[in-house]
Formats: sequence, C-alpha cells, structure tokens
Amino acid sequence: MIRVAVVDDHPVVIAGVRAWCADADPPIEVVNADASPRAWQDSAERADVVLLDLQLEVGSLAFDRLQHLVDQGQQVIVYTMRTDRQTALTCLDIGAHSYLTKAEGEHHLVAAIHAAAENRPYMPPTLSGALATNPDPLCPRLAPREIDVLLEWFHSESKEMVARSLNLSVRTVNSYLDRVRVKYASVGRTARTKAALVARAIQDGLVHVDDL
Amino acid sequence: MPSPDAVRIADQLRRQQTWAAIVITLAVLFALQFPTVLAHRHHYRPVEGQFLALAVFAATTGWVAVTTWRGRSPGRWRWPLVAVTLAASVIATATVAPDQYLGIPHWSYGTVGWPLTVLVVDRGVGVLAGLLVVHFAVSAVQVAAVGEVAVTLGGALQQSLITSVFQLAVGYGATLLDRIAGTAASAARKEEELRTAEAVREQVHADRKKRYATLARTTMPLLDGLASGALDPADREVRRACAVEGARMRRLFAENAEVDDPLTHELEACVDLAERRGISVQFLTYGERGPVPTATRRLLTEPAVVALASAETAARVTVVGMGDSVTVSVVADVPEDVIPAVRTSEINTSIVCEDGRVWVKTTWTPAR
Repeated sequence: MIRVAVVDDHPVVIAGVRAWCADADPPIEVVNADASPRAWQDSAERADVVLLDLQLEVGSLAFDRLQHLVDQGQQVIVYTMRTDRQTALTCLDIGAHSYLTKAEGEHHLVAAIHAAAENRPYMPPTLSGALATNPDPLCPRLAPREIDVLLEWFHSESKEMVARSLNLSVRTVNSYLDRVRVKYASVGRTARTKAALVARAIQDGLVHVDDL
Repeated sequence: MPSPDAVRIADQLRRQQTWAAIVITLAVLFALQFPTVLAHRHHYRPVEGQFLALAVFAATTGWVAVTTWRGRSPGRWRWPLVAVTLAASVIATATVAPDQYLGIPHWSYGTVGWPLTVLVVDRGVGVLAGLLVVHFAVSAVQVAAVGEVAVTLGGALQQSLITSVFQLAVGYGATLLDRIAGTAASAARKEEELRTAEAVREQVHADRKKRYATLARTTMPLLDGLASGALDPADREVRRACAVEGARMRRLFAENAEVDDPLTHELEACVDLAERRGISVQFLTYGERGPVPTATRRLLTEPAVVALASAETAARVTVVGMGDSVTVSVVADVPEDVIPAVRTSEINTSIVCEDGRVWVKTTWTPAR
C-alpha cells in the first residue's frame, strides 16, 4: 500500500485527493492531510510520497518546506495553482519529484503518486511546457525530437494524440518524456530524491550512464 | 510657462529684432554721427572724447552682433557694457563745448540710446525706458552744472523725445513680437493637434471599415438568414455559427486594445466568451514570443476561435513561442468538420482527432 501525506490548507482539495486515492489501482492510502507544521513534520516519517501545496501562506511560496522534505529524502509532488515556468523549474531544481497544477486532474495525480512511490519519473503536461521552453543556458541539452514531444504533450494533454501527431508509439512518447525528466534530475542541486530517480532510470534501462 | 514652440519662435523673432537694432545703430554711428563729429571738431575739448564715445558705441554694438551671430544672448556682459556705454556718453558730453550742449555737435545725447537699445532689446521696452531716463537725468545734471545750453528747454525736450521715441519703438516692437510668438506657437500647436486628430479619425474610420468588411463576409449572411427566417435559431448548427460569429466579433473588438500582448488578450476574450457559455477552459502560455502582425494574428487564432466557440464542455488552449515561431493550440470536444484549417506560406494547421476530442494546432513561422 502506497502511503501519501497531503499538505494543503483547502479541505476540498484534501477531500478530492482522498476520493481519487481511494479509487486508485494499486491502492493509495492518505495517511495525513493537514497544513499544520506538526502534521507536515510527521508526514515525512509516515508517508512514501508527500503532496505539497506551495501557497500555504499568503504572499510566499513554501520552497523552504520543499527543501526540508527533500533533505529528508522524501519524494514530493508539488501540487499547486501556479503555472509559471520559473516556479516549476525551481521546484524541480530543489528536488521535487514532480510539479502538478491543480487544473490537471485525477489521472495525472494518481499516476504521479504511483511513479513517485517507485522513484520512476512522471511528466505532467504543464511541466512539459515549462521544460520545453526553458531559456536557462545551464538546463540539460535536449534533442529536437525530445522538445517536439514535450511541446505536443503540453498542447494536447493526450499521449495518443502526440503519438499520432508525431508518428510514434505511445511507449516511445513516454520514454522521451521520462528521459527528459531524468536529464533534469541529473543537473543542478544534488538531492537524494534526484539520485534515486536517476538510479531507477538506469536500472530500468531508460537511460545509460553515458547519456547523462 | 511658455511652450517650447513659443520660446523657439520668440527667440527667432528676437534675433531678427536685435539685428534690426544693430543695423540702425551702426548706420546712425557711421553715416550720421561720425561725419557730424568731423564737421564740428572745433567744438570739442578735446575731440578724442568724441572718438572714444563713437568707438565704445560701435564696439558694444559689434560685440552684440557677434554674440547674436553665434546664437547667444549678451548674458553676464550685458550690464557691464551698459555701464561702459553710459560712461562713454558722460565723457562725450563732458568734452563738448558747453555752449554747444544739446546742439548738433552734442550728437551723443540722442545717439547713446541706440547702443543701449541693442544691449537690452530682448529684455522688453521697460528696461530700455529706464536706461534712457537714467541717461537723461545724468545729462541734465551735467548740463545744469555748467549752466549753458545751445537750445531752449522746449527744444531740449523735443530733441530728447524725438530720438527716444524711435529707440522705444524698436524696444516695444520686440515686446510685441514676444506676444505674437506666443500666439503663433499656440496657433501652430492647435493646427498640429487638429491635423493629428484628423489623421487618427481617418485611421480609426479605415480600421472600422476594414473590420466591417471582415464581418460582412461571415456575420452578415448569418444575420440575413436569421432575419429572413431561412435560418432557424432552434437549429444546433445555427446556434453554433452564432457563437463562432460572436467570438470573432469579440476578437475584433479586442484587436483595438492597447496591450503588451495582443495575441493573449484576443484569445482571453474568446476564452471569456466560452466560459460564459459554461465551458471549462484551461489557458496556458509558455515561451518567449515576438509581436505577431494583426492580419497574421487573425489567421493564427481563427481555428482556436472556432474551436472555443464550438466546444461542448471543455477546452484546453495553449500558446507557445519557440524561436521565431508561435503556436496556438486548442483541444476541445467539437465536431471535427467545423474547424477551419488555415494554411498559408507562413501558417500551418494540424488537426488530430481522438475519442471525440479534436486537437487543432496552428503554427506561424515568419518567412525570413
């Protein structure tokens, strides 16, 4: 059973996540759902994955909380209203497993939790758009085809449509997206969560050590 | 505070006025008074005083001529030169034989006003009048000290009045020209504003006509059909066509706004319209984009506008700028056959359908 802690101050979000997780296969248990500092501290010990809302306080983003969780080796999925590129890139750099916007629904949330629990990458469409248009010269060098796949996934939100549009199989589309995510895990600040993602990708044969 | 135009025009007029005063002064000095001094050399004690006064008046005038030529005003040298000029006039008076005071040999009495005019013509007639009063007062003291005059009191007053009236007239002319400059500048500005307003009106009118022409092709047939009863508002297709026309009009109105990012602004207008119909819309934009020309924007957004207006329940609108190209994409639950595929030398549209959803992606890549 995958255990997930939800750090969010909106009861309706917590209720929604609980409902989605209850229907998930394999099953996901919500062990803690609160935004209080104590619950947030406990969550790190009890959960496999933490779902973290970035806007817990008015006017500031909880990057420090994310950093703290990552330092404890926790896989964190940032779950937020914010869609701006820089926030997404900062979260990935700190070591968040994924960056999911609240407009992205059940399917992405459950898939991201499953992937995070197994240290496998997951690329939601909004994050895909942010990575494809990253102007930072220090960002990982992506192949033109990888950028094509990222953009098509961002636009269409459907891997079947991306596959048809680019004449690829859905499996290939997935492997492009995963590879880009792993490339990002291998740059910037070091974090145990990033290393776990890269190690798992090498074991799965998704990337070779030489590629990174 | 006078407008910059008024200052510019006034400067120009003032320069011309100064030139006029310079020419008059030099003519008076060399054509009239120099021969007078030569002809009456035996009336001076000594004659050098007269030559000194002539030289000082000429030099002062010449100096103003040089500064005016360089486009400057006399500046801080103005008042020292005024003092020197008045001093030269005192010397000239002092070296005239007392029995010739205010007579023809006492040329400097009426003439000193001209170099003074040249020096202060740009300061208004009041300053000049003040200096002339000072000059008359000093001369009166000098004459009274000696007690002899060549003319009667009436004659003296007459002579003072006649010469100073000419000088004051030049000074007053300068003051008048200043006022005229202000009026001329405001008239020119008004005319300019009028011309600008006219040009703007013409542009707005032309834009309006162009927009109307665009709508006339698509909106008018629909309105005609509804008016004549040929189109039934109960028909789903007719309602959809109306929604599309509504969205096109919203985009046209949005085109007029002065905003940083017209493409996003126009799409947001259509997103807003769709949301009012109860459609759930996600609108995301990433990447850096340059400006897209209006005509191109219209083509680039056309499939998205139709898709948004035709969506049944939900739509995802995304805009991406990559390099020079701009992509507008919509995924929505719409009938595939309603989406127009825009294809020009610079714009390409791709349409992918899957499970009742249509993904239409329009990309503009400007030709280099």
